[in-house]
Amino acid sequence: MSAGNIISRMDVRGKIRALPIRQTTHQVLSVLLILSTAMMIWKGLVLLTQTESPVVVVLTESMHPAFNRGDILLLTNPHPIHIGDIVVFKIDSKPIPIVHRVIQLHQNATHDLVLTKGDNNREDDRGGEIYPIGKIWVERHEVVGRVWGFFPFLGMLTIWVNAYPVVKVGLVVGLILGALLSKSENK
Amino acid sequence: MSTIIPEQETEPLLEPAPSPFCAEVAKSSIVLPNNNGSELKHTLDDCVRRILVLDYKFKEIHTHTDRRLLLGYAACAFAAYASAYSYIVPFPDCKPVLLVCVVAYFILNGAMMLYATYIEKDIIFQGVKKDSLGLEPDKKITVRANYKRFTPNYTVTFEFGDEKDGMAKGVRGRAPSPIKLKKTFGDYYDVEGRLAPSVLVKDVASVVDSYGLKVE
Repeated sequence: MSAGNIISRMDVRGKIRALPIRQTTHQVLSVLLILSTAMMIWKGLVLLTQTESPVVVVLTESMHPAFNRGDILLLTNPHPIHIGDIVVFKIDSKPIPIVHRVIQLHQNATHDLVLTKGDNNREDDRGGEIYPIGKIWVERHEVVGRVWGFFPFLGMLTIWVNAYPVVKVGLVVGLILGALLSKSENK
Repeated sequence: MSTIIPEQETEPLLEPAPSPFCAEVAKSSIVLPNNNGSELKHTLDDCVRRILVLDYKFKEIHTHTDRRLLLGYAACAFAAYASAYSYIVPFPDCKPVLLVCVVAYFILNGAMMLYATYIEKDIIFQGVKKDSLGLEPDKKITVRANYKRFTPNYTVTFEFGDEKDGMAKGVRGRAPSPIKLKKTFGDYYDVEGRLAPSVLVKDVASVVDSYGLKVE
């Protein structure tokens, strides 16, 4: 029973001009601000690190023992990339980004090119499993970023939440309800 | 020291005229957990506002709230635009727009918080009352409320006149100075956390009546 609920009950008593428009607007605003601040902090990070994905979660074991499934990786986007860097890249044929190590660099007339291989894989990424048949290099613009740091294991949370979308929806709904009900400022 | 005054269906014995606020509260009594000082304070603030609007027929001035809402929604508009734009336009190309939006968002958000902290401060109500006969100038009131954390002390300050002028001229050139009500939560809530509205009405009346206004 919060002050907001009590007063809105008092307000909605059929009194003239007691429509709590301002109050509702205010409560909606506080929810929007929470969401907006989170989003803007993320976008700020994107700008700071110069990569569209400043934080990614490792999904496979192909970089064992350096990284395991569930690790959180921090990325920046330096130019140039060096051999030995661990990079995250996204190619159109695959929906998810891949974390592998750069083992060769090349250039053609139009692009800087990169060849990658997972530390835990026997062969490089050519051959159809990672790169589609016919693609033998990753182009520089397909590289999302280079790994500069990581947190072990914390990313499992994201993996679990994505495995059970109900949890994700429940979390967001819970957050919004919490913001609305515990709002004690009624200005 | 807590005083429990039973709510009566008929007029309370304190005022010659009935208090619409008390009648409204009597329909749905207010009970709060009495360990959350912040909630107690905010509920009292709301009650003071309702008393001034219902009993004394002040019309609330929403300037401060409106300005904060404007700043807040403008910030959210930038956030929404940034989100939509970066969704449509892929990363390296959307950078300039994104930069502008993120900076604008934090500036507006910061401005909103600074406004609340330094300009609005502890104001809980601003109202104006026009004289029904049109003879006297409008009466303005500014109410501030303070409560120290972890104490039961609740202080309400009533300022009459226009806050911009500081001490404005009252009737016949007198400059009314702000009146402070130093109270505790125990003056208004009983042991179970039930609000006694007539006590609050009486206290507010003692301040507002001294300025020459009456319950209508």
